[in-house]
Amino acid sequence: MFKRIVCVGASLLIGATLNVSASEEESEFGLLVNKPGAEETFIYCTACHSEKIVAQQGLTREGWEELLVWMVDEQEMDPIEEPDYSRIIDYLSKHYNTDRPNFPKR
Amino acid sequence: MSENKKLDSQSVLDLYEKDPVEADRIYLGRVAHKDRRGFLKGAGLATLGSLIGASIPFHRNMPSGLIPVALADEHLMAGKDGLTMLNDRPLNAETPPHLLDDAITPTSRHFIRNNGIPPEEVNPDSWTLTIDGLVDTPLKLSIADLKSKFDVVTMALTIECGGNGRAFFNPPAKGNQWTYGAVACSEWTGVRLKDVLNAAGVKKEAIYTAHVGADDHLSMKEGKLPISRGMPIEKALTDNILIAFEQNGQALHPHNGAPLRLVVPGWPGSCSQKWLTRIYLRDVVHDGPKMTGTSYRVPNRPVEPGEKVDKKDFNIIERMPVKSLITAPATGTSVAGSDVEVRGHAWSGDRTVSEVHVSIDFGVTWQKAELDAPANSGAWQNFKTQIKLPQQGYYEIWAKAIDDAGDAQPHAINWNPKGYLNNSMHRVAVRYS
Repeated sequence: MFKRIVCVGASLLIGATLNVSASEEESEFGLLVNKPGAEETFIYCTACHSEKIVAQQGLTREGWEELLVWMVDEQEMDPIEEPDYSRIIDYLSKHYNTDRPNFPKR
Repeated sequence: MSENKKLDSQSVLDLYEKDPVEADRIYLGRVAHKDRRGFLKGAGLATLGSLIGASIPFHRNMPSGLIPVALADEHLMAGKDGLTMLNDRPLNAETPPHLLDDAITPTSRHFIRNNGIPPEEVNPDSWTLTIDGLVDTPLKLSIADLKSKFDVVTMALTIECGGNGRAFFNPPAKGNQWTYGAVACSEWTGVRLKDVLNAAGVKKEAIYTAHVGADDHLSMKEGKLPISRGMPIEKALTDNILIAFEQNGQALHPHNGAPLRLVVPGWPGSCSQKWLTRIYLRDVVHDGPKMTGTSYRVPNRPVEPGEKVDKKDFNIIERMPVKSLITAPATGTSVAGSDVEVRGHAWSGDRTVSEVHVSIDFGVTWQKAELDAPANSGAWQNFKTQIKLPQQGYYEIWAKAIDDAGDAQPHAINWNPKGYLNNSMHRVAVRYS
């Protein structure tokens, strides 16, 4: 388990450097665009998986809500309490919606 | 530890994992200020620079113990060459089409689709595979047992992720946004699944297999499986499904399932359980993780893009549809002459491809390509043809495969909520200048 925690920490730091060097939009939150709510989103999501999978998605608000319900019901995530939950849903549905304004460049 | 230890990325990463501050001192010659922001000295930066191939102008901003992402990615993808990483936890990476030009996909170019965290202990000498459930005699087999008790065969087998091509869905579909390269055809060596199941004795009530691997769920919850899929018993008893312990004549790549995996060609890659530890037979359709709900399922009827579909109207995906990939020329290529060789592969799950046609005029006219027979059942087929570009300018090369049941690749995506089975035609841009 200790190894995994180290791993999580490392990927947090790795993510944090990626955009500093690679993009004009500097972010402390890996591929996530640095706008209000990014910090909460980054912290909750990267407890289990990389933010890279988040940044690839383009979902409606309803789609994001359903996805978080699925993570709680089936993927062992603890429910996210307010006010963080609303900040995260607001952030995701604004910056990672079906128009894909922040789809990662490859 | 000797400070003159040979510098390689593995030893750097190992020490960073154990003792990041000491690693900084040894490899960077830098010692952090007490607040860990910035460094007292940076004399050894040149050594790190030589590993990553450039100097680090902002090295003073690099937090203590930070592993440069260039090294970390390289480590995560060790043994892979040129893949595009979509996600690093869990690791998912695809291969650009022009790097899939080989008839047999080298291990270094085989895509990676992980659902969880791969096991750390993958010793082939102590690995065991359990065959149980609805069998007459449950078996517990080592890899040595598999090799000594069953026919060992080598086959070229195509594995394609069910979500390959998802990136082009509109509205977008959830999941990794694969473009073209979540497909490969390596040579796999192993034993036939059907031989092993028959040795255990399939009870007549058995209708479905259930596969279990040693990877951990992302939550790291003990005993929770990230993925466990299966297939109808009739499919499992066909000839071209292997329990494989070698890929291209060598041990499997760690991210391709070392030391043991299933290879189920022509069906969604998720059927080909990696880090395989157990197969059990059931008298119901398997209901393990990613078998139920909408995972690896598509609506039982054509639907409008964006349509909400009731869960009960989804069917489990079985064979993958007819598809082709142009591997040469690479998209975006500029050519100096009018004659260009076009190459690629075509495949259709559980079927043979009969024809591949190529167009350079947006599908108005087509020319038939030379098409090889598959190396064996379950292998993709290679095609090639010479095209002649009539004058300088921009062209698109399109390829269209038609299989032995008469199915052809469509122009448009057959949209479905989870973004599976995109077999629309591959288009490659070429400039003749």
